[in-house]
Amino acid sequence: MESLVSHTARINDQLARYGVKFGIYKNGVFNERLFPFDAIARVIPADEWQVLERGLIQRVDALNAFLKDVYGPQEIIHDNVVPEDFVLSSPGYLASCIGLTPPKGIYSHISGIDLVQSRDGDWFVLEDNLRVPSGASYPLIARTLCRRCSPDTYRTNDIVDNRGYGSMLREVMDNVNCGGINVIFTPGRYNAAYFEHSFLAEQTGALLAEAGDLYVEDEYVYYRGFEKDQRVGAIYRRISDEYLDPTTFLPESVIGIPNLMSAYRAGNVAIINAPGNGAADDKGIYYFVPKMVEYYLGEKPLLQNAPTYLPFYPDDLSYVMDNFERLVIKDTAEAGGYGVVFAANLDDEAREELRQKVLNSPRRWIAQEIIDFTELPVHLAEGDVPRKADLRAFVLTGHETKVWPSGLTRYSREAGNAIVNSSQGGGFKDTWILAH
Amino acid sequence: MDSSALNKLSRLFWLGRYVERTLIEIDIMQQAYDQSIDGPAFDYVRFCEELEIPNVYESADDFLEKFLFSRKDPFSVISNLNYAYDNAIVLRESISSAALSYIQIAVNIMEAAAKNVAPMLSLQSITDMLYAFRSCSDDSIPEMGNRYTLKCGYSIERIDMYIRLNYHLEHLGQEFSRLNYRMQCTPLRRDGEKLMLLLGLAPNPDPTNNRMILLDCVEGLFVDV
Repeated sequence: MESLVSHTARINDQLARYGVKFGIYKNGVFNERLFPFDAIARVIPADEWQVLERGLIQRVDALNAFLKDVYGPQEIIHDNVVPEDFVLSSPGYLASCIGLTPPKGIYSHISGIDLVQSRDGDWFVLEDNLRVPSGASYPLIARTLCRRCSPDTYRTNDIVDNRGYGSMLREVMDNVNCGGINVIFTPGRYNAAYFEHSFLAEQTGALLAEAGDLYVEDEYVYYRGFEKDQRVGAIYRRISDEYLDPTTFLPESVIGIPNLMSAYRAGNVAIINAPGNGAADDKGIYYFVPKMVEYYLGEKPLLQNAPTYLPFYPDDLSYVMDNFERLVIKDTAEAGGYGVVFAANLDDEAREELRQKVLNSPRRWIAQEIIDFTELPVHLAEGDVPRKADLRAFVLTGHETKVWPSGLTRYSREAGNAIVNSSQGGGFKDTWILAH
Repeated sequence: MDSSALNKLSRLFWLGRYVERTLIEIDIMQQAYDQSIDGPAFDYVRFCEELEIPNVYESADDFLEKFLFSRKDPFSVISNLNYAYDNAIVLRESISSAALSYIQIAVNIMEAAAKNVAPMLSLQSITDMLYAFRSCSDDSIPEMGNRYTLKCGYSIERIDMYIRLNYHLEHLGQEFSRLNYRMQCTPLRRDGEKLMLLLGLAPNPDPTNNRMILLDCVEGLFVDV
C-alpha cells in the first residue's frame, strides 16, 4: 500500500478535479468543501467480511419485515416485542403510509448501516440509515482514481472490485420499476450530497430530475421532456419524506412533486427508499433490531448493537441516571453527528441540564456505553497518525439482499474525537474487502 | 437520453455561451495585458460601452485585475466561468463526469490564478481546459440534440461578441454558416422572423450599421432559452 499512499496528494487533486465535494450550511450560507481522502484503506479480510455480510443481510431483511409489519398488521406490537408507543410516536412513522405496500414489498432498497469495530475486533452496529443514506459514491470514485495511481497495489493485493455499485443500484431500480424510466430525484444543486446525486445518475443511466421536471397526471408520474414526456417507473429520491409531496406532507415544500403519493398508492411508481422508513431507523427503534431478527427470521442476530439503554423503561432510566457520566447520550431527534453527547465531557451544570432533559422526556433519548472503537492510521505529511473511524456498509435489496463489497470508512480529523461525520470535518477512506 | 427537459436544454445552451464568452474574454485580456507593457493603455471605457456593461473600474490597471478576477463583478471573466460551472454541475449525467472535470479544473486554475503573481500563464491553462471540455463533450454527449444545443450556445455567443466588440469580423460569415447547420440539429425552437432576417443579413452583415438589428436577431433567435 506504500506506493498508493505516496500518491495521496495527487489522488486528492484528482478528487478535486471531479468535484468530489459535499455541501454544508453554516450561518445560513451554503459552502462546498472537498471531502479529504486518506489513501490508507481500511482492509477487511475475507472471513471477517463473510460474517459481516451475513449479519448485514440478516439485519436489513429483518428491518424490511418490520416496516412491512408496522404499516400492516402490526403483529410485533400485538406480540409485545416492540411497545406500540415506540412505533406510533416515532416522528418517522407516517400515518399516510399505513396499509400501503410498496412494489415487491420492499421498503428499504438502499440501507446504510453504520458500524464500528472495537479494539478486540468485535463489530457493533451504531446506527441504521434507511431513509436516504449517502456516501457510496465517494469510495466508488476514489477506487477508480487509486487504481490509476498505483496499479501494482491492486495487482498484488487480492481486493474485491467495488466498481459495480452503479449496476447494483440499477438492478435495484429495475426490480421495482412499475413501467417507465428510472430517475434520481434531487432537491438540487445546493443539497449537501449533490455530487453524489449527479454521479449516481451517470453511473446508473438514470435521469437526474428536480421538482419542476416531474409531474403527476391521472396517478402516473411523468418526466417533462422537451419533445415528449416520459412515464417514470421508479424514483430514487434523495429528498426527505416531509418534502416529497406537498399535497400529503409539508404543504410549503417547493421541492416536492404534488400528488406523488397518489401515484405511489396506486402502484404506478416505486419510491426508493419507501416513504415512512424513518419508523425503523429511529435511534430509539435501534434498540429493538436484534429482537426483530429473532421475531421475523427466527434466527440469532449475527451483528450486535452497541450496549444501549432506553430511558423509556424505568429500569434503564435508573441505570442511566446512576451511570450518567460514563455514557454517550443521543438525542433521537437529531442526525448527522449532532445531538451526540459524551456526558463525561460536560461540565457539572451542563450535565445536570442534560440529565433533567432525559428525565423530562425519556422517549427522546437513548444512552449507550462508550465503545473504545479501533483507530486506523491516517497519512499526514508528518507521518501516520491514529484516528477514530467507522464504516458505513451499503446493503441493497432487489431480487435479493446484497451487500456492496466495500463501504465508506469515515475518520475523525482530530486525535481522540469519535465524531467522524463529514459535516463535522471528517475525511474518508476506501474500504478494501479481500477476496481470500 | 431520449428526451431532454427544457431546463436541461436551456442549461446546455447557456453552458455553451458562458464557455465561449470566457474563451473570448481571456483572449482579449491576454492582448490587453500585452499591450499594457509598452503600448497605449487598453481602452477599457470603450470596451465596457461595446459590451454594454457598467464601467466600475478606476483605471486600466484596475480593469485588468477586476475584470479578470473580481467575484463581486458579475461581468468579470471569473464570474462568467463560474456561470459556466453552475450550468455544467447540474448536467453531469448529460455531459459526463469526464467533460465536467475540465470545467472544474478551469475553475480551480482560475481561483489559483487570482492569487498568482503571473496570472497570464494560468489563463493559457484555462483556455486549454475549456477547449478540452469542448472536445470531450462533443465525444461524450450521445444525444445529438443535446450536443448541438451546446454548440448553438457557442455560436450565438461568438457571433454576439464579434458584433459587439468588432472582433474577428472576418470570421463572422463562417460562424453564421456553423450556426445555420447547428440550429437544424437542436430541438430548440427558432423565431421565424428573426431567422429570416438573420439569413438575409448573413452574406453581408455589416455590423457597424446593422449592430442593433443583428444583436436583436441573435439574442432572440431561440425562443425557448
